[in-house]
Amino acid sequence: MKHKVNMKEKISALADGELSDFETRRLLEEISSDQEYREFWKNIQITKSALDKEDINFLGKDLSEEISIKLQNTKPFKKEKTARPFLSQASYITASFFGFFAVLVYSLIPQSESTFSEQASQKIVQAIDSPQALEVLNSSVSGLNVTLQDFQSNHQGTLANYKMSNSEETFRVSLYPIEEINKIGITEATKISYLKSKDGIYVVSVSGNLSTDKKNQILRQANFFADKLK
Amino acid sequence: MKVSNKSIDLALVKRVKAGDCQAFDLLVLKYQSRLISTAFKFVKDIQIAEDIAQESLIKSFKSINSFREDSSFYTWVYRITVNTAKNFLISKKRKDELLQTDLSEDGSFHVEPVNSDSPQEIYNAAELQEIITITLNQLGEETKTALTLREFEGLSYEQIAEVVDCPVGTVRSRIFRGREVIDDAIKEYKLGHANHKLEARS
Repeated sequence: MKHKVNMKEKISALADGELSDFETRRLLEEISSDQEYREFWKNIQITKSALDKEDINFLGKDLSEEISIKLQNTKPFKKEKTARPFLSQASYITASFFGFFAVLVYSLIPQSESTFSEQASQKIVQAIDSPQALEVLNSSVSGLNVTLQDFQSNHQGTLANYKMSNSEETFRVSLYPIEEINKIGITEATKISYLKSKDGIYVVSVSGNLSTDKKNQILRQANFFADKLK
Repeated sequence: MKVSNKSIDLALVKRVKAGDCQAFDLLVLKYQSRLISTAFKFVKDIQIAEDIAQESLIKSFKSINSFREDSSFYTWVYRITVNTAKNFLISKKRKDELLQTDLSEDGSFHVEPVNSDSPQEIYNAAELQEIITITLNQLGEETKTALTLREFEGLSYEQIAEVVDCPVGTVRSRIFRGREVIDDAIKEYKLGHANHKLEARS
């Protein structure tokens, strides 16, 4: 009994990061084999989340057993280290020399500006077709109680259709490079805004049955979250 | 200075990097519900949200050696979960498009509505939060002070010992005693919840 109390006190200290590495190692061996200790650990985390006013809706779920089964006989991947055997030292130095030479030659040849603008344009295309683009759109509608209906994403832009949860109203938010603006049908109901990044300018647009205030709110929020686009 | 969650998890992360599955088990127990909740916000289906959280946790275990510890473990695994959920939505969208092209001609295809019903297994979060707060407020003054300084102010045991002017060991056991009482209250709540579910089924 005293051992159990002692163990639980250590679990409590571990939850606060107040246990030494040595004690942690010894404790871990015992925790996993005892359901009561695991439950105590879990309840400490529930308490922390509840007092922090975090979302605790899914506390009844427990994935640990399934995960533990799936990870049996699995070890974390080792970080790959580049082996540099002694014999390759000479070739390493040679490669470094040629690398330096190539950089020197490159810096002496005048580069046209279009190379850099092409690179920037390439970056825009990558950003516009990335998960971050959808994240910007989703963030722009936060606080509006909407459901994402569907979305499309390609190098020309990312477009998401949303539905208001308390009505049948739908609207569309899209994000695309400024070069694509002529290809997008802008109707009277569409409101647009420009997002400037170091690589170029994006356009964000909102259309559908929404009040102007809400459209403005979405555009403001899109601006706020635009730094997610890298 | 407050003790950050990042430094609290560090000891466990180091053990996981050394291949210790038991340390990972504690991180799973700590973060699983938050990750399910994150995935649920994207997919609106509890079963899929659980699968995504599980997949993300397994990914995080396998690639733990690439975690550089410059952010907290939770931030890292949260990002993995968000990306996994987004990839799921993208592949679902592609599958739906394929199905639509294959089946829409004879009109037999219809899109299933997203399941956004509240799952039965979830606890009443507000109720549980209230029980925990009430239990905390009913603790003895010394225990309550120690636990409050730890949970709300984020002070280390040493800092709390200075504030309340007692040995660090005493702070440790006061915090533990408080948690034991709250643990009993949570267990009682879970039991009541389980009984309620059984009654509802019968």
